Amino acid sequence: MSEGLHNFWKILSVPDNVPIVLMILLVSFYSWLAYKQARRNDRLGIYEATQSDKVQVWPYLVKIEFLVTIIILIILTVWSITINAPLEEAANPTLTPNPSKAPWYFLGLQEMLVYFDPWIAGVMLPTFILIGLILVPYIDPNPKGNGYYTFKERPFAIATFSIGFLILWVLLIVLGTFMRGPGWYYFWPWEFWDTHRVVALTNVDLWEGLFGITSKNVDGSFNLLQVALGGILVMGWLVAIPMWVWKKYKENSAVLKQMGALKFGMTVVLFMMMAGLPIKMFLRLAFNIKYIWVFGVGHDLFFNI
Amino acid sequence: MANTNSNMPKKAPWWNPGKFFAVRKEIPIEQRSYTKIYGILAILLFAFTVWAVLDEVMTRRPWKDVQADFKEFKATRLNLEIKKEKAKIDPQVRKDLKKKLAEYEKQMQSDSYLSTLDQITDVEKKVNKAKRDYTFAKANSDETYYYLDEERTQHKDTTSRAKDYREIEKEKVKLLVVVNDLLHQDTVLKAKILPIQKGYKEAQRINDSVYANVIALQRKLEAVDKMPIAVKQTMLVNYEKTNFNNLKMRIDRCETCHMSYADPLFKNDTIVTTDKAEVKAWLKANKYNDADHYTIKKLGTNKDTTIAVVSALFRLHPNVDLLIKGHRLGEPPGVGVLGCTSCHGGQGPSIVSPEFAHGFQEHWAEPLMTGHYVESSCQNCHSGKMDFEGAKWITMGKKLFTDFGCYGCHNMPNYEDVPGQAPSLVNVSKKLTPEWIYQWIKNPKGWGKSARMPNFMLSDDEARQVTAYVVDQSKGGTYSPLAHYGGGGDVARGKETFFDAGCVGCHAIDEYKGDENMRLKEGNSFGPNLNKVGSKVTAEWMYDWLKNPKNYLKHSRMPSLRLTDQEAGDLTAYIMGHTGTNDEVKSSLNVDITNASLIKKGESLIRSYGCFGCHEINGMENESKVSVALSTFGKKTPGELFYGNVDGEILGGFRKEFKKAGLDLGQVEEHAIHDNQDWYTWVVGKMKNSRMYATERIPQRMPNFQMSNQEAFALTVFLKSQTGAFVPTGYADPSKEPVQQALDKGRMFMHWNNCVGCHKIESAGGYVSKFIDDKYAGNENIAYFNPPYLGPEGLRVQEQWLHQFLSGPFKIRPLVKMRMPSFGFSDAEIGTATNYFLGMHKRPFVMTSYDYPTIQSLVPTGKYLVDKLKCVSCHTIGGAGANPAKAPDLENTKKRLRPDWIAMWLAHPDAQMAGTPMTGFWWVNGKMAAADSSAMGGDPMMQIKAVREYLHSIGKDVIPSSTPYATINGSDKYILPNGDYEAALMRAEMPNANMMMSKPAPMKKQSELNTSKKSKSISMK
Repeated sequence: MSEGLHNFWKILSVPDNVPIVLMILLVSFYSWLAYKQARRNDRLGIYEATQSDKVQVWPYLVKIEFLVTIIILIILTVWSITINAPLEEAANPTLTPNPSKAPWYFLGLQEMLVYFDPWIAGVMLPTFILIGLILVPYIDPNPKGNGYYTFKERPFAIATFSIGFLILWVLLIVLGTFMRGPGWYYFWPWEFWDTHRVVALTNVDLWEGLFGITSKNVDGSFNLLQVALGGILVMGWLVAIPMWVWKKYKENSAVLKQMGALKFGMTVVLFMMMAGLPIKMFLRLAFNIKYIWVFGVGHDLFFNI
Repeated sequence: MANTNSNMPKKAPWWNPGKFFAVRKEIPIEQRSYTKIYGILAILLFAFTVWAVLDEVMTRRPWKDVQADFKEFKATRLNLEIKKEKAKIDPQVRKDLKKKLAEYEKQMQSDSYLSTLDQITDVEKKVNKAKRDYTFAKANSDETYYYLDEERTQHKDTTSRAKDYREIEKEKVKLLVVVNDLLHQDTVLKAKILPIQKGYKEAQRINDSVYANVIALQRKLEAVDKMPIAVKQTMLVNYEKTNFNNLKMRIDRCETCHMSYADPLFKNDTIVTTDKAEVKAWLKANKYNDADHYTIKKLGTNKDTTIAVVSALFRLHPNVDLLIKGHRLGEPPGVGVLGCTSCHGGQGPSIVSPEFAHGFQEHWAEPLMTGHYVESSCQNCHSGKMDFEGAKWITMGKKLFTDFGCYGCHNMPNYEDVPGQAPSLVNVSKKLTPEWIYQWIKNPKGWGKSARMPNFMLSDDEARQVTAYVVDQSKGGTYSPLAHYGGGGDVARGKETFFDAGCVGCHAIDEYKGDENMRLKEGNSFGPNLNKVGSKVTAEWMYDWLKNPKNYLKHSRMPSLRLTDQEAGDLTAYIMGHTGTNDEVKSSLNVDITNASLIKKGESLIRSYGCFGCHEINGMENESKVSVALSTFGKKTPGELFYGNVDGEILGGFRKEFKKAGLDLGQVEEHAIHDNQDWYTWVVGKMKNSRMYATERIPQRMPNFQMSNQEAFALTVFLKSQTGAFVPTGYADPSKEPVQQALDKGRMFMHWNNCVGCHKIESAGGYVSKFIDDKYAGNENIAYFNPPYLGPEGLRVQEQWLHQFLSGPFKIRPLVKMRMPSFGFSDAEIGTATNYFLGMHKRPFVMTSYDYPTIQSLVPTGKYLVDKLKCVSCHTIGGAGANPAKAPDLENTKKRLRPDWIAMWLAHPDAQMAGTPMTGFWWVNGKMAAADSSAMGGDPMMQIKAVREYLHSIGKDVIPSSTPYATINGSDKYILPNGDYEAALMRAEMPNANMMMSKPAPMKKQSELNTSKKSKSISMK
């Protein structure tokens, strides 16, 4: 235990990781600040900032920003003098480091590789994240919340941000940095990062686990029943549920009316994909579910979700 | 919310931030002042920028201090040397010199001298002025002449111009006269003081030549003063490969701090003494004033021995000739120039701090090789070498690796063709009883401490199964004794024979103890320890074995000593009397070993343990090695090694235990020691107890060699060398050179056959000498008793003779009782030995004929000298002469010795073989001189030649031969240029005098070996 904690302290204090520790503190602090202000605004019902509270960017904001720049410069100077900038061993194609980790800002993506095939975790989801972020200003018609924080007026946006960014991005980075050790195995802080650790990891496809319906037939071809069930589930998640919501609420919900079918469609597909990730993570971690839909064309094109 | 109209609140103290900011918050944003904050931050930023600069140029460049320190230290040393040099000069001489110089200086201060000097100055000033005037006049004249010439060409009126010109010319000549006059005055004045000046200069010259050494040192002192503080580096062009296989330059900056590594000024750098006061005095005398410049250690286990050592930073590299010059360190950049990290490891380019420079940091793959581990680097380039001069542990490690037969299970470069270490088992049931085999397999070291067979930790049942198979497979063996023991034999005589015939060269028995702590196959630890052999084999078998070793084991290394029946009988009686006690193994065989299932189980055990790696076993001739290759083992990281359930306490215990024994395991970067799990502790643990890391799931099959600490340590040094290092082209890998290959093969051969047990060859060997010296201490002829030194063999004997001798040896030296055994070497083996002897002296690998017609005219003089010098008081000629004969018969020299060797040998025997009893008749007071004033006009060279020709004239034309033990198979592949008299005559020429007077070319100069593409024979002309 103490050896493990010692190990954990070593990991925390590696010059590489110190900024990530700082990131935890900063992100927590600013999230807390924003939530606090949002709650206060909601309680007081003050959503429109008064004119008197506003000042010009130039010079009042720029002045402070410049000040912060100097502070950052000072911190960086002292930081670089006092640590020796860490270099790892020379790259060696025959000897990869264990664990092999992506740059820290991609560790969330790397974590997704545990739950999805690379084409989803490494290609499709990042593409959707980028496209989604670009689309945000266009699919969000809500003018409220400019210049102040609020829960009441933007519940969906804040919830999506909190789950999507704070949990699925930042938290996974933290997890990937501090909890994923050799073999990309999960290590608790009190556990020593043992290169030789053995973990029982066996998975089963969803339908086989539930009803014994195998993904493939004995001869290696796809089990059509499974393909159909998986297809129904995935399509239901991405298409049927949104359509049902749209049909049920479009008359009553001002928000839905305002969005219109196109914006709603884009938003909801992006949202369902985002929400799908933690569900798949849960299925994997709790029930060892490997795929919920195994499907492919020929020998090269696989479509395993 | 801010109120733009509110009054300015009172100022809050800045040291109370809570209040300060609360108050500040009340000020409207537009009115808040940032001046002070900006001011403070600007000052801070400036301060930290200054710090960054200082950090860069000072903190991160500690070598600047080191260099400054070195300059000061070197100046101290130089001043000390200057003082010593001055003290060497005779005080009277110094006084005289000083007096003479003072005399001249006095004269040079006299009024007349000084006034003359003043006059000279005056005159020279005038000369300068006059010369200038003349130059102006000349230029003027030239210009006027030019215009005059122009006017003439253009047919103009030249009257006035011509007049001008004439006047200017007149003026010019006048000025020239003045100049010459003044110059004359100058010469006259100078002549007046010339003698004084000349005398002074001469006195100075004499002074300088007397003080030459001092002046040279003073120059060095000036150079030290001027030496810039700068990074010094060696560039190793195309030295290494990146992990992506691209060649790259390596840069070593070690010499930036280790500045004295090749500076002979720092050679007296240690003192070993038991007296602390002596150490103090030594430090004082050598000006070691700064405690950073030396360390005082206790030496080894003897706590009283104190040793003061100059710090590694400012000391001379040991063995500079071989290790620095031989590896071309410090030469200008170019392919082939090695650096420090080539052998020592470490992070060459880094000079930021000792930790970084030495590579003791995370992720630096090759940190400094500490302690004896630096020796393992030799192996990178000299992979075929057996003996490394001055590198004891890698040499022993390599020999142990060979002698333990590690290559039987592990693939290893250079060991592809080496046969297994252990005896063949194809006839084993004719030699040993199943009971003996069983208890031996159970615990070899229990039977004899010097056993090299490892313990396979077999259970009783497993040992029975293995025994069953071993006995079963030997049923096909075809051995039947050739000689039969008739019983009897005299034990006392047997003991004498054991010593005199030379058995003691290879076997330990009674008082001739082998080394149980370092089980090298060398000296009398080579063969089995015979103290218990009487309870192992039968007398019948032993007798036949002694008479015909190759009858029982076709490829045995046991040679025949050409024993008579009586000798063999005596020896059998003596050896078989050693039965020892046998109580180590409690359980016994107790089963029917002919049971088929038992045999089958035994077979599968043998296959899985790979016994055939060392033993020849019927039906298992083509098995492959059972364990992993070790060619890159030295590079394994702790993560690649399996520690099983062994905890850090045990591993750390090894580190401590070895340190206590003076065997420091390699230093590891601090981060790397997780629970002491590092490469060194892993290997040491494995060597001490090979099954240590086994777990339920991961069984281990490596048998336990039960090594001593020294053995384990030597092997770690050798294993550390297995890096699969890349040796780039141009950085000679000497092992690829034919000469080096011959030497490497030869050294292996000499080790493999234990030639070094009796003969001293290069720096090692001749282990029987200590027994001979003990036994015959005080004997007047003891100098003649030792088997001959073979260092100069390649210079000494004719190749044909050597071939004949090694095929069937015979007695040469009458007083050497030990017999050169009949090994039954094949032609190829004799070739290996011959090439080795030739290669040592860079002679061509050919068999030459040394036949040449005797120069008859010299024979009478030669005979006269041989008689006069009384050669026959030690030697014999055709059996007649000295009685008892001490030295070889001279009739055999013609076919045995090379003509040029005879000359060299006669001229200066001691140079060829230090301590030889042969008298150097032509060597007087350190140089060659005539042994007889009258013969050949007193020319020593001609006298030597005459003696040689006489020996040639009386020489026998056949090589004596005993019955060869083994028939030589195959045709003789050497070309014998018989009848080539011209070539032979050239060979009979005398070597040049320098060669005759000097020692043979030393083997040490590796650089020479590397560069000589074609080895040349020496002194053929």
